[in-house]
Amino acid sequence: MPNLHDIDKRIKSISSTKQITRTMEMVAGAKVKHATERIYAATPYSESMTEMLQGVAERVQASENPLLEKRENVKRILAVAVVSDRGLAGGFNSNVLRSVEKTIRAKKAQGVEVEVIACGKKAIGFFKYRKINPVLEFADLSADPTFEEAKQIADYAVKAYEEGSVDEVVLVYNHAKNAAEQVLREEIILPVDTQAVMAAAAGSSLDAADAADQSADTVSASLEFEPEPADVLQRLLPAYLRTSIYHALIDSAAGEQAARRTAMHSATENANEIVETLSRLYNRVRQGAITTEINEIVGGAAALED
Amino acid sequence: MTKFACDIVTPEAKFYSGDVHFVVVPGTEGEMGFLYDHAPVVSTLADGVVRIQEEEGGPHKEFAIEGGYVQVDGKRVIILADKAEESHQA
Repeated sequence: MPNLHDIDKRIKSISSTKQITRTMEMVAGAKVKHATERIYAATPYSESMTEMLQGVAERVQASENPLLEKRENVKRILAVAVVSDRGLAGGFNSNVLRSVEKTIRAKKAQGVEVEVIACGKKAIGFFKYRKINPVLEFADLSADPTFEEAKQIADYAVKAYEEGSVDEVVLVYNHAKNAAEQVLREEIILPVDTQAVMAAAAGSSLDAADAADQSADTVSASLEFEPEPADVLQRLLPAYLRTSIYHALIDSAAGEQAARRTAMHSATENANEIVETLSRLYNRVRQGAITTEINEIVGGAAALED
Repeated sequence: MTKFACDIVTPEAKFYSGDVHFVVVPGTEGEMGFLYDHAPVVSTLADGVVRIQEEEGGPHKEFAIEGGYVQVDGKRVIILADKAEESHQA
């Protein structure tokens, strides 16, 4: 039988942990709202950007811009892992990190090298521990990601891709599907897949080559470019990349808060349950002790009477 | 004159949105002005000032922008910019 004092100590300790988890749940709940608003604020920009890129991409051949060209021989991949700075968010961080690690292993087996950009302290720690040195690392951004950071990542990726030191860039992050659910997303952001961009809007053009031929005389006549389409594309593509990365960062930030809220909610519930069980045990032990005591007194009195 | 919709959008927020009469943007190859029913254009923008006239003959609103693009389709002008700021002396 555990003694009363020990049970009491455990109940107190769990209650104080519960206080922390409940507070974290409420704080995360408040932050979810802020983060979701930020996504809404950024949506018009990325939508217009995608729309504009579609317009340009329809008129330009893939070979005209190095960022559009798919490379046959992929020798080196750049993986951008977007996670948070802090833990206690359930599987939020480990989902992304484990998936990246798995990719690295699989690619290494195929003889493809992988370099990593780590966003968030958790990613930095994770990769350093595994003797993988991130080429770029960002700490303290998960709470409040800015466009500047997205720009730095995009600039690095574009430069490496153009130089040929990297043949593919993959972005791995948590998409905040709704307030309660996060979905792991892996997106190939370089080379930019114009087919996918175009298909997203107009699923009508079945034959892309055919459509391109037609657009050469029909559509381009109605849409002017200043300067030339190729030049516009050259500026638009890095911007598109920046937008995609920024979107991933804020999406992940919203997901983090939502994940933390869910995790802390269940932690609070678990704590409640344990406290209840322990109180029951505490009372039973206490009652047991009293009963034993009464028995002893009654026994003692009976012994005296005889 | 007919008015058309004009939006100035940055990654952080929709910066300006409204029905306007006339817009001037700093294109990389010189300033461009748009009225209603302008031919569709996509252009990159230089860092500079966007002037918006909401009413014909009315006052101008000025916005400083950095790293932008403009998309025009006759009934709508969308200005995408990395950064935007309203100028207060207007």
